[in-house]
Order: sequence, then structure tokens, then C-alpha cells
Amino acid sequence: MKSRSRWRQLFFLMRLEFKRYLRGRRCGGIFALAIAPLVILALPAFLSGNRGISFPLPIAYTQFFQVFWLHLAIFFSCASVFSQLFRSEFQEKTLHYYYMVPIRREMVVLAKYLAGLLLVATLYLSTSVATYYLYFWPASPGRNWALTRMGSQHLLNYLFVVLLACIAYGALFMLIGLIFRNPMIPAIFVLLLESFGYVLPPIFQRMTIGLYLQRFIPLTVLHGPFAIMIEPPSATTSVVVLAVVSSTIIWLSTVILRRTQITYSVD
Amino acid sequence: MERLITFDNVSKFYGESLGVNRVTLSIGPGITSLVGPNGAGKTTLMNLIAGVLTPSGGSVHVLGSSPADAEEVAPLVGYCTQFDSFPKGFTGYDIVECLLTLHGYSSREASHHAMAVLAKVGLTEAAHRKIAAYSKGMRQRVKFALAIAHDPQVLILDEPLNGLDPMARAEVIELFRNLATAGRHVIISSHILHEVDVISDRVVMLSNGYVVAEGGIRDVRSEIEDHPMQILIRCDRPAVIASHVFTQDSVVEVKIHADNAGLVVSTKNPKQFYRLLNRIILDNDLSVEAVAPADENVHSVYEYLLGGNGTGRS
Repeated sequence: MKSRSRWRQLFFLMRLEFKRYLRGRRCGGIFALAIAPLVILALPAFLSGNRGISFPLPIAYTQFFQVFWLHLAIFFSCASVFSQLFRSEFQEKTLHYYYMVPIRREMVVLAKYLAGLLLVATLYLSTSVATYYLYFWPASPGRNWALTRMGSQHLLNYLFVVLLACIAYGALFMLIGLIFRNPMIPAIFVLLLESFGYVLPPIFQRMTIGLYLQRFIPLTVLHGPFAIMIEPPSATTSVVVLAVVSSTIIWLSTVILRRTQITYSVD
Repeated sequence: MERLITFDNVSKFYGESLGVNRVTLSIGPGITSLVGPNGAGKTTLMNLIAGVLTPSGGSVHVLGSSPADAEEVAPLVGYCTQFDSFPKGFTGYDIVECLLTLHGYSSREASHHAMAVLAKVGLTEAAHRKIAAYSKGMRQRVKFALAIAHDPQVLILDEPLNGLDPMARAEVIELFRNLATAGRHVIISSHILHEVDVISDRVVMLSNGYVVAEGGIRDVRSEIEDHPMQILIRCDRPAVIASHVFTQDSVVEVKIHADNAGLVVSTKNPKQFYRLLNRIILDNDLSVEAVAPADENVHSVYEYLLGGNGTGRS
């Protein structure tokens, strides 16, 4: 088949999958998770009549970003969307439709992954911008700071972390969804490792995605007396490691799908 | 292009369970029916042709191509599966149009052709309704539309008449005939021999994962009827039974067990043999422990398919 046809199939399948996610019942949950902080941050702004004068601390935003945004909202949204890319097809007994069309399994994996990534990344990149400005905007010193070069640089860093997190967690959860019948058990294990990895020896910390994202988070949050602080790898190393690991995981997923046979009764 | 679908010593195991074992088969154009009781291996054979399953041993070729190569085989094969499941939120039109687009049709062609195919299966009015709201018969028609939409050379239909009313059955059967006349390979599975024997050019009978008979429907019938049936008898004096049954023309072979506590009789007329056996037992006051068919293949499948009294099972 010509490469042009393959690209056409890929884009068609991506669009199709994207529409399916938007119609899916899980979509409501991840939208709620992404929009909840906007509501929480917007309320004080309205109640105070937009006249705040105290300077909102950037470190508090970093804490919110790391604890809630990265390790809860983005993590669980990726777990919910990507682990179900193939698992839901098994549960609904619809995977065989992809086996009956002249499309390579690699394309199916890629289309599903990219559609999931488009959904989660678009949602969280846009809501990240909104939460950032809603946090700093109500107080005039905060507004002034957010509009400075440094304030804008911080926002760009946060957005880059969101994008990298969606790419890496997305690939990981797609693989988990292909391997495990109940992806939530390994997801909880990964969550514990990612959230409390800082108390583990350096060798284990290097196995977490969080360490490689750390380099791009503008401010450092202290984790208390039990934390074993290690220096995050350089920016280039972090990007290369995350790109290589994500690509390897996606490739592994294609290998698994190529070997997957339709025997719904045992799945 | 190779004109046959070939199975060369194909086996398929699901873990420790047997799907099909050592199947060697060639299927040419025309209507071929795979017949056998539930669990005989009909769907496994179909899934192997469609590339939904891969064989544990041996090789399958569809018109010269390996089913593992989806890009090559999917345009050749249309598969109406037994799975009664569809992606959520799709209408009949949506799913046929998506399939055609993935088969390389342009958006306009896919749209036009999808409506034409849905009209062919009698779903024009329901085309834009959600499949979830369809009746069983309508869902079966959508699956059939999906199988024929891209005009494949090989059509695989797993229990295609299920859920269809008599009128729809007649229409669908007519469509099979037209496709077969046009030189297509139409493979139909059924557990009811009567349902398919009138339309089939060829029948493959399966039992417990093995092909037990194949050929034209008349050949299969006569092969089954001519095939001697083996009957096992465990008793105290097998030599007495052996000496009496040897006088019967229908008895082909008698083997006395080494422990001298039983024998196996091969007969072409089991009914006559059972009547004779009753008489021998009573006349000679034999002590009989067990009487059972020793081969559970062709005869048992045939009996099953025809329902014993020849009326068929449903």
C-alpha cells in the first residue's frame, strides 16, 4: 500500500478515535478533573471583586502543579484514557473490526495513541494556561509578575512538562492496558512510585517519569526530612530519555497487538 | 492469482483446548458450507482465514496470500462474524462508511457506496439510526453489509441466517448464489445441515476439531452411509458374540480384546446389529457390562446434524 494511503488511513482513524473518546462516558470524568481547579481558582477572583493586592507566591503554584495537576489530574486522566484504548475494545468486543480492514497493526496503535494524546494534551495545555492566569491574575502584583518575561517563561516550562507528561504517561498506560485486564492495579503502583519516589534510593528515582520532568519545573518543592534529593538529569538528557522510553513503549505495544488474537471469551 | 483457500496441516489450540487439529483442506470458488455441532471448529477455521487468529501449526493461504498480512488479505476477504457487537454510538451508515474509507475509498465514494450496500441488505430507512436501536435481524444485516461492502473475492459468513426471518433468509440465500455464480468463494458455517445442503456446492463436516468428511453434498451423504460403524461390547464371553455376528453380511470386522472380556464389531448396518445383539445376549444368557459406539466421528456428527430422525436441529 502506498505511503499516502497509509497517512490517510492514520488521520482518518485518529479522527474517528478522537470522536469516540469525546462520546465515551469516561470523558466527563477527565473534563471534570481538569476544570475543577479553574472553578476553585475563579471563585475567589469573583468574590474579591478582582481587587486583590497581596502577591500570590509562585512556589504555591508549583506545589499545586506538582501535587494536584501532575500527580493527580494528568496522571489519572492519562490512566483513564490510554489504558482503555485497547482494553475497552476487548470489553465491548469490537477489536476485530480493526483486523478486518487493510491497515497495519502499527497504524492502529499509533492512531489510537495520537488520538488519546490529542485529547489529553489539548485539554491540559489549555486548562494549564487558564489555571496559571487565574492564580496570578486577581492580585495586581501577581498579574504584573505573570506578564513579565520570567512569569511567561514559567508558564512555558509548565506547559512543556504537561506535554511531556502526557506523552510519557500516555505511552505507559497504553501498554499497561494491553497487558493487564485490570489496569488500575498497576496504575496505583505507578502512582505511588511517581508520588513518593523521592523517598526511594536514587536508582529507583531514576526509573520514574517524574524525575525527568523535574528539570523543567521552574521551582523546586521540598519534600520533607525523608526525601532523598538527587539532581535531575540535564534538560537534553531528560527529553531524550522520555522520548526514547515513550517510543520503545509504543513499539512494544505494536508488537503485542501484532500477536494479539481475537479470543474475546478468554480476555 | 491463486484461486484456492488452502489449509496445510493446520492446528489451532487455545491454551490446552483444541480448536482444530491437522486440517488439510482446499476451498475453491462457489458455496462451501462448514457444518458441525457447536465447538466443532467452524468459527476457528473462519477466523484463521480472516487472520483474526493465527495457527498454532501449519499454514493457511487465501488466494496465495498469508492472512497475517492484513494489507493484502483484508481487501480479498469479507467476514460476517458471529460477534454481535458494534462500536458505541455508530449508525449503520457510519460503520459501513468508515470501513470503506479504511479500504481506500474516497469520502464521496464511501458515502455513495455505503448507501448502495445498505440498500442491498434492506436497511435504507434505518441507515441513519443508531445500531444499538436495531433488532437482531437488522444487526445481522449490517454485519452482512460490512462483509460485502468492499466487494471481496472471499466471503466468510458465520451462521449468517441467524436472526433472519424467512423472507430475509430467502433474499440472503439468493445473494449467496449470485456471488457464487460470479466466481466468488462463499464460505458459510452452520450447525444445521438441512439449512445449507440445498445451497452448497460443497460441504466440510467437522467434529471436535477434525474434518470428518468433505466433498459434494451427495458424496458426503453416501460416504457417511457407507462408512462402517464400530461398536464396543464388554461381556463375559465375547467369542460367542463373534461367532454369531460373523454370519452377517453387514459385519465387516470383529476384534476380540486381549483380556477376553470384550470385542469391537465394525458394521455397515448398526440398527440390524443391535437387534441381533439383543437376541444373542438373551439366547446365550450373556453377562454384558457395556455396549457403546467406539467411533464418535462421522456417524455421531451426522446424527447430530440431522437430529436423529432426519428433521434437523435448530
